[in-house]
Amino acid sequence: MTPYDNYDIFPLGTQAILIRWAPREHSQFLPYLLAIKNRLVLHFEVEVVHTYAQILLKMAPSPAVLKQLKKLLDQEIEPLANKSVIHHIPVCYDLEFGLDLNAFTKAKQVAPQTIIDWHCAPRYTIAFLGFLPGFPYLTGLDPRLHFPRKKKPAFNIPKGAVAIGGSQTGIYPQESPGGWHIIGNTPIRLFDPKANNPSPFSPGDQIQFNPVSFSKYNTIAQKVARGTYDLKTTQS
Amino acid sequence: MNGLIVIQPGFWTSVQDAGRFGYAHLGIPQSGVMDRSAMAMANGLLNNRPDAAVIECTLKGPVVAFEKDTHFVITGGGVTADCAGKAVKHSAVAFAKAGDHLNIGAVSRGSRVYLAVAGGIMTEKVLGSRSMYAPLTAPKLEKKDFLPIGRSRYGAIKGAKLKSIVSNISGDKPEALCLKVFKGPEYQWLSLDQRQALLRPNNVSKYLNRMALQFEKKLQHHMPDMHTAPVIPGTIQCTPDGSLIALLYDCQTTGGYPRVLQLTSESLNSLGQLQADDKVYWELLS
Repeated sequence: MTPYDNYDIFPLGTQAILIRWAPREHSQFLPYLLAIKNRLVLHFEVEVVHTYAQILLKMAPSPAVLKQLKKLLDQEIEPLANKSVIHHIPVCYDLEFGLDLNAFTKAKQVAPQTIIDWHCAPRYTIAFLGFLPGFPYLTGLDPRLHFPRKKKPAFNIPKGAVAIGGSQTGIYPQESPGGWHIIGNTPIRLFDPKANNPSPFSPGDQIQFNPVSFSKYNTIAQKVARGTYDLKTTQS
Repeated sequence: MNGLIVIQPGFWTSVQDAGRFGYAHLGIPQSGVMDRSAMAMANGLLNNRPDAAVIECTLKGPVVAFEKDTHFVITGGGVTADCAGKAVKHSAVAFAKAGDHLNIGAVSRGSRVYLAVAGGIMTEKVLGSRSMYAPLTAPKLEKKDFLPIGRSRYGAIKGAKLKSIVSNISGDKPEALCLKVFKGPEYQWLSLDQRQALLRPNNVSKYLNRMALQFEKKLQHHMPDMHTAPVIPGTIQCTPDGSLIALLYDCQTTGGYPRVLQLTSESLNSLGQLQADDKVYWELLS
């Protein structure tokens, strides 16, 4: 049995088709999911949305399409190559930005610096974008940082907020209501609808958070405002 | 260039077209008009392209001024409107002279009214669409906004075509609306009793906007938490506290609640005219 053959196909009304894989370890499965997604996009040339273990095709589930889809899903597939882009995201964890950091450290009973170290240590993988334009869903959060979402969502989470909700961490590309705990902020621009490529992120890319001081944050913010800041990316 | 100037924006007025396609993978909603049949009729009457952008007015319409002589149509919900002091007939082509003010009043039947102009609204496209959605565009129209209008093709059609379109105008709103639905991906998570309760007649709550519409009656259930999964306009989600939420055209591309039902496109369109307290009942398709 291959990691990807345990799926079902679900017609979502008459406008879309959903493919669901059985629950599995998301970061292990992602390279397969992305390879399958690429194959389906190439073949059907329709809009495709994926999350951790589901793919949605925006097309009518006709018998002919479903038959073709099953054939494509049952073919052998190589997971997408492990080599990927790493985005280095500067984050200021000062309390001016980490609005919930005090409450967070109290609940975890560790020093703020420990929270920052734990948050900056892993290299996160972007599983998909959703929720808000350009919002990356990341896998790889240290289990010691898992923390239930707020019971009552905050009305205004600021643009650039770096936050933790449940077992997930993410960055808010724009101001929004939300139930995650804000621990820092990045000055970089994560979504620009006027750009050819509105988001610098693609699923499968990796993210490294780098802690920066308040003054460094401001220097970068000024460069971003002038359009002279280049997001640092490297190859793994 | 010909255009419209917004004198008073109304309650929630925005430019919408058929929607924004090809960017869902970036988390960008589809958007577009909520009542597709009202848009189709308006553009049909004016001989516009079927997907020409129109102005969507919610609950209370705007006041706009025409720069040049312009043919226009009002469709969708019931409303009284006047142009330069003269009453405007619903679902019929009207004519405004340069400088005339069109005043669209409060929506009396349904919740959304459409204003289409011959040539269509030609605001700048963002990611392939003129549909307004923040943060891609301003969230809605404001006082003094200028909306360019394209070149009119009205007059190139004959009465026969007009009649066939006009005969499709829906009658008065029924007592309760029947929503046709398919089973959603997590429908099977509900017990037999819960499935019956899910399809009880329901009412529209006061929580409704372009993103979603929440129903009044909740569903008691014991469904487990789930991971974020794809959703589309017309998906009905059930939250942990049992609220049933129909996702509309400005909805997110992914959601974390069980997807219990999926509306047909026709029923999704009819939701665009519902308002708080309206009654609905359900018909489950196989």
